[in-house]
Amino acid sequence: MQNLKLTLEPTLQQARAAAMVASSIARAYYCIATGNTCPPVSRFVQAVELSVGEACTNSIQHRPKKKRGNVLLTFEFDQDSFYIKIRDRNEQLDFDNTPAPDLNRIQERGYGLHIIKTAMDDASYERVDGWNILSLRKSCPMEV
Amino acid sequence: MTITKIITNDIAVITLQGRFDSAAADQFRKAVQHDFLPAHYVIEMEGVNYIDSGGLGCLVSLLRQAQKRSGTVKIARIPSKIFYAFELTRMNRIFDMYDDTGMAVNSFTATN
Repeated sequence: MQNLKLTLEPTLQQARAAAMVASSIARAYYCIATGNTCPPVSRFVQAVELSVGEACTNSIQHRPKKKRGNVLLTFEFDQDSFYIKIRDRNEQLDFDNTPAPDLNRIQERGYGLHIIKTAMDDASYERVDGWNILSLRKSCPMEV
Repeated sequence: MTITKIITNDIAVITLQGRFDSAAADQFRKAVQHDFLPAHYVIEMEGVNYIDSGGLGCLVSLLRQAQKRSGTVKIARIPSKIFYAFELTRMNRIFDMYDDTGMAVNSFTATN
């Protein structure tokens, strides 16, 4: 399995950069996995870019004030799927019990995890040795 | 993100270009604060190539401010590459969307 690692300083500008890098890698994976040129507008690429951006932004916005730890990203892929892991040393996240936003009411915040869980095919969380690890998977794109 | 504003007859047309994400949220909030607050807003988004929940939250916040003045926010010329974020959050049901900026502006005068 191929992999690529990225270390982010905890700023929103770096979260933006991570989303842009994720978009470029997803676009390259699309070409490798399908043998086709990635279309300018691809749901697969959009899902990866949005999810990585939301995850990194959440990590940076929710870090404790005295903790300035970096956010670590790993991109991996095989023939079937594109995988992303986002690690940080923030407080433990209640990933499974965080309430989904009420989409029938307008609200300004609280969409990040919903976007990640909806856009990706799998999204799971674990806490290991003080690290939050968010694991995301998106299946090989079938769109041409 | 580049933000330009034109305010005419209680309607502000705000044209955005670039990435409308959490890193650009403060810039947007400052840009829509005026001495004179219009009731209605048209957000022209043709030049926006990315929007995340931070950008969407800014639009909801502006909508709430406008509604307090009996106004609203309409979206014009939204590119397909960012429509996905609106769909995921169902914001496409909250905001009226127009293919043409002039039509969005005229829709206010038609209802006033």
